[in-house]
Amino acid sequence: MKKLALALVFLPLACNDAAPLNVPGPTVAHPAGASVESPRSAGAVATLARRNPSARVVAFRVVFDAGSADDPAGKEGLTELTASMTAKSGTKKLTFAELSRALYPMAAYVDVHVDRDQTVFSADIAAADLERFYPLLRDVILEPRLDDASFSRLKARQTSSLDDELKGADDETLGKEALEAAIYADHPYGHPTEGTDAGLASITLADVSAQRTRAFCKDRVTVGIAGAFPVGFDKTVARDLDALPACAGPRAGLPEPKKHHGLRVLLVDKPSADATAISMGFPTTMTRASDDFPAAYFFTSYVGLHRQSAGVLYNRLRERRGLNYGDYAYAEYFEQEGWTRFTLPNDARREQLVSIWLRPVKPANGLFALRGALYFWRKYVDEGVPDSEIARFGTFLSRYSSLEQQTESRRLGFALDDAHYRIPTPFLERMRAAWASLDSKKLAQVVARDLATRDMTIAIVTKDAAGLKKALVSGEKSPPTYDSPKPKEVTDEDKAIESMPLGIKAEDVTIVPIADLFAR
Amino acid sequence: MLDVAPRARADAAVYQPTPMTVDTLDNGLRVVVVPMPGAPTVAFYTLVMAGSRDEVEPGRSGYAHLFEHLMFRGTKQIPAAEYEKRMQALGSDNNAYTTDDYTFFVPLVPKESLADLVPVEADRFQHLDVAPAAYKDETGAVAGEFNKDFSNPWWAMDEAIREIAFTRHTYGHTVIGYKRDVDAMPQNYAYSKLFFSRFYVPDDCVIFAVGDVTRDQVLDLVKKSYGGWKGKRAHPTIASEPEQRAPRRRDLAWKSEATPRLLVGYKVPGASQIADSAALGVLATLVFGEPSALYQKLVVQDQKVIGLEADPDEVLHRDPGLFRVEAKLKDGTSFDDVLGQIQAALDGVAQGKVDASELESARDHLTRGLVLSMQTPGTTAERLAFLTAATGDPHGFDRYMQAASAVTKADVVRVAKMLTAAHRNTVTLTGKKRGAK
Repeated sequence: MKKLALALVFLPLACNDAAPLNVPGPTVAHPAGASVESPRSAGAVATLARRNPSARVVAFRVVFDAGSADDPAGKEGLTELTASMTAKSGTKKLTFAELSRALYPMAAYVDVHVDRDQTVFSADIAAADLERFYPLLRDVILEPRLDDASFSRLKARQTSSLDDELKGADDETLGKEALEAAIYADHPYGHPTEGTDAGLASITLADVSAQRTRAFCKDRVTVGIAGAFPVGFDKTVARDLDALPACAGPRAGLPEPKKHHGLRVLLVDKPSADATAISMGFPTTMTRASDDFPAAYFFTSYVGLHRQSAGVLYNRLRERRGLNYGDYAYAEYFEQEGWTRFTLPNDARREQLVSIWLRPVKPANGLFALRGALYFWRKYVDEGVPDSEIARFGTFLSRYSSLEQQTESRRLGFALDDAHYRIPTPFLERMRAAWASLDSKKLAQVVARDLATRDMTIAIVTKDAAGLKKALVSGEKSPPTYDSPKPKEVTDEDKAIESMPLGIKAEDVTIVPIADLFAR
Repeated sequence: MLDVAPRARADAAVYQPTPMTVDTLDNGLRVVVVPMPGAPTVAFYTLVMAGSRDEVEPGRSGYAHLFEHLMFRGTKQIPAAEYEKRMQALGSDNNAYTTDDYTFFVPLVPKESLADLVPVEADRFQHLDVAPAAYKDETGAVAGEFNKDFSNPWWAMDEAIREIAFTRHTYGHTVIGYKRDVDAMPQNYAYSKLFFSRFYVPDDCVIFAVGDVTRDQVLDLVKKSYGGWKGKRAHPTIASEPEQRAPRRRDLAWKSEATPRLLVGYKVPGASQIADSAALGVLATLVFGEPSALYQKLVVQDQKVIGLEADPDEVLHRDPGLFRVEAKLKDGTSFDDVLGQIQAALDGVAQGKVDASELESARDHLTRGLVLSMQTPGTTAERLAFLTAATGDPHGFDRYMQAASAVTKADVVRVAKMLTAAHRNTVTLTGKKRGAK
């Protein structure tokens, strides 16, 4: 396909006509006149444009099919550092200080987020600022400065993010990362995007330059633009970003995660942890692209929709028992966007995991909470969800899901995910249609195919890991301790939970001291 | 609508006064409506003007936050399970949060659900009925939240700086409360009822309805469901903070490995002094933002500091609070070195060293960032409520924006002098050495 190589003149915008940003105007989910182009259709790089002239903002999402799974062995953390060096080192024309000064009055940032398989550079700007913002974004993507001083600054920041934030100050996220480390041992997904201590220490500036060419190259990019941009602007961007380096070759494939039978446990021994963080799950070949996904998503939402009181786990473990602050389940990898309760777009993966997340519990109730989560998960896996509940919860989920896509940026993000997974019907439309025709029989079939496995990996961050291991393999009862008496229906259920056999043997349990986790 | 005339320079392409109406019902309940035509969602949020600031009795920290939780525990007419079912039927994203000054209940629904949501919301505010056992279950969830939070050293630093900066005022304790008070909550059911009766009354609440709604539509719904609500807010005495006469400092040793952290706080006026609050916001943006000379020196050139921030929102409190600066230091950097450089940067502004274009950039950054953060009914309602709680005035956000847009060099010099004259409060945190037990 012929690539266009035009010297482009940026189209000036009629800034004075731009409406005030904060005065509410029409906010339409699928605005009339929005143009959506299929990625990889034009001669330039793949583009997805959703023009909405009545919007007050322009949202950019530049997505690369590159993530921490592309870190070379021994250089774990390289893609994350390359991404932050791209966004935060300045450009060939502007030092980092000069770039900061240029962006500052617009309150504009080039944010970057790296996951296992995707990296997204994003920005939200006032429509009135497009003309002065876009050349900066273009240069950040095409001509990042990648200088020595930025390298030492951002490497130190990433090291702190790994050792101080993840391992030191956020046991909830640490538990989730430990789960992935256990599920994906000897697999490119097995380390956090921040990397490992040894990997990060070994990274040089030359590694960053090489990784930029390798990972953030032309054939791996999809450019998303939404909001009040002028007609033709998306084509300008697509042609500009055609100057990205060509990709050297196809992306390396992924191995299958190692199989195991029954439950296996990774205990992260962290003596300073006052509470016990628990995550569990299993790998799956099901992704958002799978026909089973809408029903599987329905099921995990029914059992544990993220940070809503609607789910079974939340209701039984938190509301009725006061064990912790919340308990949830997910049909695909889930990361929350900022302070919202909604999923972060553009972290699509080639291989997925189904997971259950318990917020930290008192150490004395750790084993009970673990058994409780498995008990209720298995109960609904085995017994199913009745049709009346499917109808009721389906109504809720259909309405609730509309809240997921309230901004130009998030609508764009979802559309990019649809394009990535090659799903022709928009996410919400597809999910709602599937839920509307869901019944207990269809749901049971999907659960049996995708969610019924008894092979589960469990990761626990706790003090006294040796004591917990002993309790886990002993098969002994683990009665809960409560601050208040509970009704008979709860105590009866507790009797079944506290003695539920786990079948965990000593060799199924691995203890890793916190200092050794993600060390290499 | 506005009682502050805007000075001319506000950027009309980005900000204009919010098209809102404010009505007050006979019982004192205020209703703010912001129409956002075409928005698929409606924020029907309730601001209760009571936060940890209002926890006046010793040993009773954390009750405003506990009530944020208890409000989901049902009434006689709509018990908790039924409440949950109804909120699900509406497709609600149902949550709440608590701050120093207020508690905010934030059910967000598709617009077709609004008419059914209002009576359910009204019921829990007027008829909350939490049985002792359910009360105890919820205190367990609060304890779980405390445990979740305190794996992060910043929470311990927040607790410490409040303690040293406020010896009498209730800003001296955190929103979640002391561990000992949280642990004692299961035994204090009776006190919790007293707390509810003091503050969950119509004249202490403001409803924000933002979305594809009209004033008449919202007022009709609210009058029907909230018209019979009675009660007057109690005003327990909040001790005023005596003048601080010397710098104060506390050095914390963290329980595990941690990068050294620094938190500095200077006493500043409450948000009733809106011009000062806005000027302090611009000062925070000017002196500690990414392009600032201080940030560039400490973080970019010398690389002694990994992160540096002063959040302009921190100064927005009902009563005199703190202008806070936080930094994460590289191992080996001296706290006093960084403290000295922070102080010197503020002293420089106080002495009039302000670049006009940098000031304009900081002012634009602050105001434009706020507007960019208000793209949805929910985020709009949250910002309006925050400024309402801080100023006591539903037009507080517009007053703040007008004031921030008009901040001059003289203003930032004035508030910088305010900081340099105040005695500093300092908290440092040092982690264990790597490998140490």
